[in-house]
Amino acid sequence: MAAPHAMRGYRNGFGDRVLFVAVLLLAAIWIAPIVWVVGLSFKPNDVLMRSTGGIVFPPFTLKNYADILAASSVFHWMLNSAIVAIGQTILTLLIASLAGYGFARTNFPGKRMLFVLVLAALAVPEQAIIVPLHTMFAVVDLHNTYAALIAPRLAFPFGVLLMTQYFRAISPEIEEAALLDSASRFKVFWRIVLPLSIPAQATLGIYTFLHGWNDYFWPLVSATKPEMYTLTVGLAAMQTNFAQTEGIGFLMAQAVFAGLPVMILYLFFQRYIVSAVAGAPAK
Amino acid sequence: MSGLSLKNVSKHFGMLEVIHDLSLDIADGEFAVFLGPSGCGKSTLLRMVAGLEPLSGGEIHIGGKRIDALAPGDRGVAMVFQHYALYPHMTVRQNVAFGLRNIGTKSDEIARKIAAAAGTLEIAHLLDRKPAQLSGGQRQRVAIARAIVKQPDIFLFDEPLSNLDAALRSRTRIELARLHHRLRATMVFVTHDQVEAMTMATRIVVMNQGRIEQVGAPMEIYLQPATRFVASFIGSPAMNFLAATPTGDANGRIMVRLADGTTVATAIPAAALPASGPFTLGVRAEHVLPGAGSPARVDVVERLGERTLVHALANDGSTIVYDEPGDVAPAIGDHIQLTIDPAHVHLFDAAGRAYHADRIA
Ligand SMILES: Nc1ncnc2c1ncn2[C@@H]1O[C@H](COP(=O)(O)OP(=O)(O)OP(=O)(O)O)[C@@H](O)[C@H]1O
Ligand SMILES: [Mg+2]
Repeated sequence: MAAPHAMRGYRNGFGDRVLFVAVLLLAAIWIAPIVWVVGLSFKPNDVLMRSTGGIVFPPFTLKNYADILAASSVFHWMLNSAIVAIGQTILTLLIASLAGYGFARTNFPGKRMLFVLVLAALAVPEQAIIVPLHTMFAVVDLHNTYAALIAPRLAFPFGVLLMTQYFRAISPEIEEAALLDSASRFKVFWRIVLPLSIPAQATLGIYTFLHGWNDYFWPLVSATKPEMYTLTVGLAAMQTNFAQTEGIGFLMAQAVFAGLPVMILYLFFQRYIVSAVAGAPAK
Repeated sequence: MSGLSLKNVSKHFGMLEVIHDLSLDIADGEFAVFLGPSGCGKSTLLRMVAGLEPLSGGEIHIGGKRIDALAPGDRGVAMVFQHYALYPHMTVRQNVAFGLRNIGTKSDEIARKIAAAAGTLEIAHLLDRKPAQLSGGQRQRVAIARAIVKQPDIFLFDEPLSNLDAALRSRTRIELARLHHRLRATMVFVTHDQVEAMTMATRIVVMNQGRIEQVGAPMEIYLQPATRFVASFIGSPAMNFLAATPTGDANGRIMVRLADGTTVATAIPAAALPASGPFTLGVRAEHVLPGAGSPARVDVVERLGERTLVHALANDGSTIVYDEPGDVAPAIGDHIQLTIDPAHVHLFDAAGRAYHADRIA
């Protein structure tokens, strides 16, 4: 209720104006480091050795970006991240949709129990299961594979919950009408239910993708060979190992480069991202 | 031929018996209306015919072929849902085409059928809109169009008029009756509105608590209700019910005394009645005549325009409703006298079974 009020009325009341300025200030604070990173990425490394201030003044250079394209492993890590994030997204959507549809529409013994189990899984923190997970993947000798990077994230109770709620909200009469229109069960799901759940799919998909792209903890634990690093793990390794020799400008360029896909995604799916973060399905 | 035949159909949800061993034949081309109060199992029955609800027992046949094990899409039925159930993400055209596509109809034939249905239902200008951009009445028409194009053996309607405003509802009633006449298809229509049943049906099936109370043509049910339940459900205002004690017979016709002491010499054969037991006399408002008779006091006056309903209290405190043409009604509190037209009364025994005068031709 507060949000529409603020959006509608910041021009009017004094309190609203204060709120507006506060929001502006917060946004500025939030964006400052990003601006700084972008600025630094266009500066020659030898200049930055002396001082990291004054990013608005020349000299500028594109050499840092050229170096990325020429040499470093960033491309390879980016590819890894893309494979992992996209793989997680597709599989999560598939699993959460099927599970959600099952919970929303079918009846089977033990359904309540199973659903409670899914809910309970929401409360399990990542840190609590990281060691058993590591052991499990070590036993089957899967560390340093894409399977290991993707699989543990597919058990995503929030996604199942979201899809269950969304499917429940779709009128069963619509599906019944389709059954009477000679559609098979699968066709009902594919042509009716799935298209109707696109807002929820988009919300969940973006959330999963961003999460997969930014994920750090599990890839750090599982991927020990540099060629299996994801972007986050790779950049972190660079920062600790090579910051002195490679130069800060180069590091910053890598960071910008790493963030680009997410930025582009954001521009395209802004609407859904806001609702994904707010936790409500987009209209 | 595509009549509908239900044979000993029953349905329970867990322990709850919803339909009890129900048998019914609906002939080809009939407009059958299932009428009954909320929760009596009308929708459940319709959904069983459609294949959306499995039977607990019995058989369903359409056109002589047993269909209760077939998938909904293979039964030759089309259904119009109460909330229309249009596909929100498809245009009207796609909505109507969906069922035809699924059974492999060719594109040019689909286009031809859609054009024909759109003409019949006057929705040609809406074909490229989404359901969200339509009014309730327009959605209704689209839902009917979606049913028509499939040329089903049987149309099923589940209270399709209940979401429309009064004016649109009565207009749609007329159009459905016209549509039925034009298509000569078998239609099964579920409602709890007796006006819809009376105006559209060729046959009314009155249901109560999962059982059939009476099956018959509208006027047959109106004039000769089989049970007190039917009598109370059909007709507006509801039939008057007064406690009655038999006092003997005159020329083989039963005489009864009402609670206020009045004696009514009915036209009902005395021999038909059980020997004893409490009886209820039923008489419709139009057969209660003001003028000389038993005294009563006016309690409420309802003006309906073309007639006025007067609710009066008899001496013993029972309420009796009669109607007056136009607006020539007494005022509240007036003392009046009422007579019951003995030729048009019904008697009901303790079990609710009805006894009528020999049919007045
Ligand atoms: N899926 C179900 N599970 C359990 N009980 C049900 C189910 N569907 C219907 N019932 C029960 O069956 C009875 C008949 O329901 P039904 O929907 O057929 O009534 P109806 O005559 O269509 O009423 P209305 O006029 O309100 O639509 C009701 O008591 C209802 O509670
Ligand atoms: Mg119903």
